[in-house]
Amino acid sequence: MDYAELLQRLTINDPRVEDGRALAPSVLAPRTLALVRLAALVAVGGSEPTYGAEVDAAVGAGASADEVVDVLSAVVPLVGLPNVVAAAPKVALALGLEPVEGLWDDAAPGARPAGTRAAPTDAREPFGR
Amino acid sequence: MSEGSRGPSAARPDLSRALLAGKVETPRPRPGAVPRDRLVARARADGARVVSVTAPPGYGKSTLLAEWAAGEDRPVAWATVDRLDDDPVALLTLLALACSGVSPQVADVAAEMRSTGATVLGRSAPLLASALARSTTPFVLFVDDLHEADSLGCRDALEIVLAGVPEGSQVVLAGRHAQPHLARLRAAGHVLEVGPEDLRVDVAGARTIFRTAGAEATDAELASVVERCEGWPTGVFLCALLVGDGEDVSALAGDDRFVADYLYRECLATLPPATQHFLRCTAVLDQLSAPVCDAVLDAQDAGERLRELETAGLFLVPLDHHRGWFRYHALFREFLLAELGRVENGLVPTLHRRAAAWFVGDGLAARALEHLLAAGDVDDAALLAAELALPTYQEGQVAVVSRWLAAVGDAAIEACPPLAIIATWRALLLGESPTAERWAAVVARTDASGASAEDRLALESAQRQIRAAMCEHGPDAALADARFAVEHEPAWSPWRDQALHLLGSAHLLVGDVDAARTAFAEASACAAALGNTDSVLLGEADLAALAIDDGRWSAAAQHARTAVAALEAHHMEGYGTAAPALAVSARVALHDGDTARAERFLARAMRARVQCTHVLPFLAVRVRLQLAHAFTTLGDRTTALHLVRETDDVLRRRPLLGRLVDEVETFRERLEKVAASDGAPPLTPAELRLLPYLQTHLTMAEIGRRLFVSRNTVSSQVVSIYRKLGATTRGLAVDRAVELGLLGD
Repeated sequence: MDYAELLQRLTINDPRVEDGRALAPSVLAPRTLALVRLAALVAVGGSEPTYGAEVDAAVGAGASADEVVDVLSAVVPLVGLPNVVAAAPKVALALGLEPVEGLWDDAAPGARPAGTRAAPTDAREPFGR
Repeated sequence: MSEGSRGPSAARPDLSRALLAGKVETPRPRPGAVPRDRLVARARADGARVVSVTAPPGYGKSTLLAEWAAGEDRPVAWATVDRLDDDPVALLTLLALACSGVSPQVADVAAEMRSTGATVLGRSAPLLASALARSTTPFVLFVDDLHEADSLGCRDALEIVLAGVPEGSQVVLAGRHAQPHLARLRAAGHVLEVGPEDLRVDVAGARTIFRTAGAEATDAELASVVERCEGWPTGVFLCALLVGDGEDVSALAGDDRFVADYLYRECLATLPPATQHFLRCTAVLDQLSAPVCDAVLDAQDAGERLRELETAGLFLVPLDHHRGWFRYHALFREFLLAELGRVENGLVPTLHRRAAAWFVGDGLAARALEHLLAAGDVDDAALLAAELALPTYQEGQVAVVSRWLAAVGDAAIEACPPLAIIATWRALLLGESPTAERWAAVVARTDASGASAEDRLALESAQRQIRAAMCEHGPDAALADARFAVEHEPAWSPWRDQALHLLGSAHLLVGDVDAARTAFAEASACAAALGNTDSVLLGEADLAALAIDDGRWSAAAQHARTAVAALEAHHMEGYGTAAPALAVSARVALHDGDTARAERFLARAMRARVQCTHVLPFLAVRVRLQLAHAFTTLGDRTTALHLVRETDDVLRRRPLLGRLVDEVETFRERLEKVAASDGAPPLTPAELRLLPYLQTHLTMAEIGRRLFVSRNTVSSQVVSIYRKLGATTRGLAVDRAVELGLLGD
């Protein structure tokens, strides 16, 4: 099926393309494909696991981290800034970066959850320090 | 501290071995102790894998354990924990040593307990757990004073080890407070708890105690003592001693710590003043023997006094069957220290200094350090740590070095340039980027204008070596720095081999392969002569890599074998510096067609790469390139590309890496032409650091606290791990990881 025919079938929602079997992409290079998918994910608003999977696929297809982040910049005029802002921390996590320092602090590391007491320690350090 | 032999290998290893042997020797039950046979029978009949004996001090926990051990027909292992074991590596080593006697499987892995960072929970703990699980004969392990090893790392390690206790065996844990991770085992019904209620004595027990102490009392008097002490065994014992000395029963009472002090003071008052002085002064020691007591008191009669105290039954616990070493009952020792502080406070630093001097002379550096710190001689402690750090690290015991640095404190490290240099290298080699950068900055701005010419030269050489290794200013600067270091490190310096290796690396960065090869060969030879494993690992690995580039595979195989042999002999698995050796060994194995062996090397190397961060950029990039080559040969382009991406992260922070940048580019272009593969992406370094915690039941928030990241980051990383391993629960993820060689061995 050449591209013109595929477009026509899609336009009429031809049953032969309904279940998506005939739609497996075959022309785009894997790297481009992965970046395209990432853009679509930003548009529909995915969650961390999906971003993890798609970014891993992109890197596995040879995309660099610069290219992945470039996708975010590229889609802003189309999906709107709010969607990209929502996507940014998820992409960061998927790339192995901490999104922004202290973004989700439950408490400082080492702090006790509210409402608990420290375990009682025995009096008198042996060396009297 | 200028007296005493300094060389670390001039230590008396037999003494530290003797002390360690004392900690794993099963103590004989105390004659005349209150019999606890019903309690022991109940615990044995229950068959619970973990028996937790939790009670405040003085309830007779150790006595209970000793009685059980004596009557047990299964093989018995014993471990007494002390303050210096409050570190997961130390605790695992102690437990492994204790169990070596009852389980040959454990004896095999005992030497593999020394590890660092993620390897502690990722390799050592599961190794010990699986060795225990494979033990053929049921055994009982007694762990006394577990409250001394209370840090988070120790608890996590213990949780993993306890999971390996097989059916028919039991572990008895005695301590002053409950272990939190046992809550989950308790819910599953695997824990039997023995508490203070079970250990209180009744009138019959009091009668036994009084009889042993040689005191007379009527039943009514015994009943009143038991009531006033609320059954607290130590209280009853102290009352017995005082009644034996003629006190009136009705005047004594109480189970309170402070009333215990009153009773102790009364007992002490009945002793001659010289003995009181002896008791107070020797309380500064964790473990006593005649020689060390003589040193601390500057006297000669310690041997006699110890024998007197032992026969009088006064709170001395023998640590070994030869009656050479003792310790005080914990409660009594705390009282004595308080008395010492009250009565002879000015003497305390001197006592600690004398103890430190003796321990240094006998090769027990860790204890000497503790005493110096207690004496307030932080600077001397820092100098001692600086001296002993390198040899300790080269034996695979970086955890000990980390502990010393933590004990000495940042301020003392800053004030002691040799120790600051050690702290920098430790952080660099463990991949702790912020720490490394911080200490590197401290070393860089150290001003040695007041020191001797020799010290100034040593400091400048060290500063330039650090600069060369961190490679922030480009290959030419690194080359100049490395050349300076090599010129100025004398042949006997323990840093010379490292300077040579840095020179080789710098030569590679500017593209001079032959000079690099010469330098690496010299580094390796120098390191072998000095006993510095690190440079052997790195030098031989780099020589192997260069040989592979030339197509000289048999030479490469030879170098790789040398490196791996050194790694295994010195137990440096999991160190970042081991990663290149493992990666080239994988490439050699692939060339020989041995895919299985290659995959094992690759799994080990992928784990070790976690510590190769951007602070040692040459190492970080070279190791990942070697790994990527190997994965490409295996047909796994996905993993190779992910590794290349990791090098991009390194290059982002250290862009000036000369020829290495070109190498990465060339390799990336080559990969474009390789056919795509379907493999799952590899676990990232952050995920590898988190993976061992999936063996525990810690919540995401608790794991986050240990790793210093937010709970959400942990959640997201855990989901990512599950995805890559194809698991939906922790158990499945751990099983899969063990299959792939990412956990355990």
